Amino acid sequence: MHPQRFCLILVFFLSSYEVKSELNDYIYPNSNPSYSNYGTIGLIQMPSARSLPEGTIAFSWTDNKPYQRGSILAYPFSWLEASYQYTDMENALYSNVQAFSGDQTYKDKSFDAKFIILRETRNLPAVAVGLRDLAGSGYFSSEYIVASKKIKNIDYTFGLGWGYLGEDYGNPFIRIDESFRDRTLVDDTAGGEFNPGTFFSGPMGAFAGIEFFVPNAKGLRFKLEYDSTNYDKEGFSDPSNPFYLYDIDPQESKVNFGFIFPVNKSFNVKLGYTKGNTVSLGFSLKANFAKKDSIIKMDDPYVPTPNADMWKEAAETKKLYAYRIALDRLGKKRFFLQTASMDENETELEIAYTQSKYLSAGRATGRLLRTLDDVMPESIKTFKLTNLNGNVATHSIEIPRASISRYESGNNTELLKRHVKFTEKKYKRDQYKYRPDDRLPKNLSKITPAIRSQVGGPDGFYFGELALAYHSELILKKGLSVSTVATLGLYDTFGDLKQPSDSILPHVRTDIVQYLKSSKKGHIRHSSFNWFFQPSRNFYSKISGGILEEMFAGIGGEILYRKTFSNFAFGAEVWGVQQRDYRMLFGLQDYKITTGHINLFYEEPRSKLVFALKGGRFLAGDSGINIDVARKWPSGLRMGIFASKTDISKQEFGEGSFDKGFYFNIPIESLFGTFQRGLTPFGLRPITRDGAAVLNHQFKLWGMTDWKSAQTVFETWEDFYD
Amino acid sequence: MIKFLAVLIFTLIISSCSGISYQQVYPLLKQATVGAPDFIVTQEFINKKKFSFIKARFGKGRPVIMVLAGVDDSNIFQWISAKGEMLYTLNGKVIRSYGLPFNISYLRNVSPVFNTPGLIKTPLKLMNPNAYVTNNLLTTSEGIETLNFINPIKVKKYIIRSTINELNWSKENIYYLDLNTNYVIKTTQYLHPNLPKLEIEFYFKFS
Repeated sequence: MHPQRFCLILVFFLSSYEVKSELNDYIYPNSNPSYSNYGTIGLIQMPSARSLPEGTIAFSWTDNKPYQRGSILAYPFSWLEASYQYTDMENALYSNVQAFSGDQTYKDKSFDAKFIILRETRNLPAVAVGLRDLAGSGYFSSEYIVASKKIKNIDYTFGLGWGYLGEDYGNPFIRIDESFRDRTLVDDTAGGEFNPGTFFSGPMGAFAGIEFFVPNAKGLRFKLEYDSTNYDKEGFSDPSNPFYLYDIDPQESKVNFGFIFPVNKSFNVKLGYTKGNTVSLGFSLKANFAKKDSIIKMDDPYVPTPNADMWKEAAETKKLYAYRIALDRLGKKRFFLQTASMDENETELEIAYTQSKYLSAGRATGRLLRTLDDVMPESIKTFKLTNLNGNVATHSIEIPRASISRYESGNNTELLKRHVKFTEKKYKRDQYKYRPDDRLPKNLSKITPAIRSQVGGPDGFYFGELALAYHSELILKKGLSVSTVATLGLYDTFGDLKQPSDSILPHVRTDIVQYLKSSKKGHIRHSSFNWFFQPSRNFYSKISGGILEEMFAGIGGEILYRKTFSNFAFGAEVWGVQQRDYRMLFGLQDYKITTGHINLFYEEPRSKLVFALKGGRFLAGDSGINIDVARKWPSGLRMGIFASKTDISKQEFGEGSFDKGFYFNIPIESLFGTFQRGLTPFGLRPITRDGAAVLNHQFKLWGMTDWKSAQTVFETWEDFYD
Repeated sequence: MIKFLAVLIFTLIISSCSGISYQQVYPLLKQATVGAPDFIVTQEFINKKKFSFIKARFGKGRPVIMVLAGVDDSNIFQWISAKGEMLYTLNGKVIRSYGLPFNISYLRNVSPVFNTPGLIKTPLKLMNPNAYVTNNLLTTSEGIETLNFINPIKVKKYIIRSTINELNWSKENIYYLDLNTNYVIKTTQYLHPNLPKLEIEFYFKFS
């Protein structure tokens, strides 16, 4: 029997299976939407109108000859799927010069977006609009409108596609405007541009398919689809193209089928048969970092202070003992008391503290206050706390002691919040009665393994280095420290990198290959002094000098005006910098520049989006603006996109036409069972260019003052008793 | 293993700026690959305990000591861990649980019937997500063995096959009945389709 006919009969037979709805989660476990060969959520080659919960980050990889495709996907909202695609095209040469290409094949990078415009209801399907390869080379450029409806255990999908997904149907949009008739590629481009003029133009195609969830088979799914891809128009299918390497097998069938094997809720393996002649296989991995237990279940509960009554009794004998007990007991829980004061009647205790453990402001505040409640004299009726970061105050709170325990049993953090006064203040150490001696200077250091990655470059998807990193924080005085990270290379694959810079701008970023190759024995990542001070209650300043980042050294500073819990903030920064040499030790190159920006920030409270606008002079001497839009979650996860436009032409900018990319910062604690304060950044640009490059100095004031944000403090308040 | 892969891939994907230290990663990878270490309950350990207790271990996870919090009129034993997880057992069989990632509750207090092996059908509530199913419990007697507990103990082994037809799920649960006390002293059970095997050793302190 013909395989496609067999599949159709099989689906018809199995679709009669009916189950009780409440059991579905057991009968069809791990039934989240799965990934297509293209790398986004969908059927086999075709997209669907499905998405994943906001805060999900995923990685998908597929081998479907002649393409091997790695995709990194982010879901800033449940209605938006944003993805970066990296495709190794084995049927094309790396460049149009065969001698230069050697045996390297073509690498294509692109961004995709899918918008869920209608949620599935009982009677209506989910509907999505998607754009593929919207700012890349355009080889897979296509748009689609797709609907998906799940009935019993089958998810039906039907869609219309244009561009790469277009067949030879007419285009209904021609009735609106003749310009939809032809899909004309723009010649005058260095790639990477948005070409909305071509969207939904040219011939249209129709596709359809099903995803059948096999009952009681550990989540196994069977997929079947009608594929509208116009393989004749695929990139490099024309032998006259100088990149052309070999012929792709022509499509023998428009029906594809495949299987998804969910190993668990995060990890899927897939196997498919496409075009009637090609076996595909791949896997996907996903996790929702907006949740508290995204990968590893948290096992770090609040532990009440042992022998609390004994400590309390001791604290009641003398004020100094109370201060010292607070210092000691808080220190055990990684809260570092900086200063403290008690009023004459011993009814109010005011402390300023730093902490290095919690991302969640609510959790940190709750655990600190519960510890104080455990050990402080009963006469104290009010606690006043000021959080410090880099010796500058972020926000202050005042809380009646009795309310801490009153709402604990019901975990009623909302009622508790009504008793809390949130304020702001300028931190003045001298105003506190108890100022423990810190014995400065003090050096805090650690040695850790370090991975340096070069992802999605033209020479290959991943190049990396395993190294030992020495992290040092030399605190010279309160607010003044020298921060250093130096590494010793152990193993790397940078030797295979070869792409030289072709930029006509000063090579402020595009000499990355030389930096990576020359510094692999060991290098100084950064080593700079940082002096933080707070001229007034809401003004913050920083002056830094030394090796500021991997490619530049110099001196400069930043100021920020940020009112506590205000949605707006603004600041400025200016830096005089000189480019470091490729060895990345203390040597410098000749290139010098003064760079600086005016920075504006706005936190939109409903959508939880943070807009950052940066205008000024960039590292290569170009002037313009950079806009960054990010979403942040109470877990600490951040996802953002950015783009820049400066006064250089797209030809001067080079491949990609203008600077753009996306990033996410994953809370480190999601990889462990205990709370950790750090975020690990991951950023991607389609290509590294010199235009619109900014200085990556350490400890930016916007991040340092994050606990002045209403979102950061109030969205995490529910963690108070956690 | 999947957790190991997830951690490894995400650790590789994310760049090196994070300052993740080896001390943090090593125990995590070790637990994900070889599991948590088991520990042997010794006579000295038993002597130190004031009350009866159980050693419970899910799959390769860390064994947990749960102490006897109470026994009700129906002879249901309530065991509680330091972190607040609770198991309710009747003749060694777990009939309710709280605080686990996936919990269960038998709607009738179903006891293993060791005297007259046979089939019992009983309604069971699975939690997270909630679902009501019928559990078919088929008991068979396997004969007498010697179990090396603290000392060698003569036990009778019973196998109860637990089958949920709606989920096409069937697992074998084993009970070792102490012939002297008539108490189950060791068991391996599958409580929930999403949980690994649970192994329990019972240490009773009769006063």
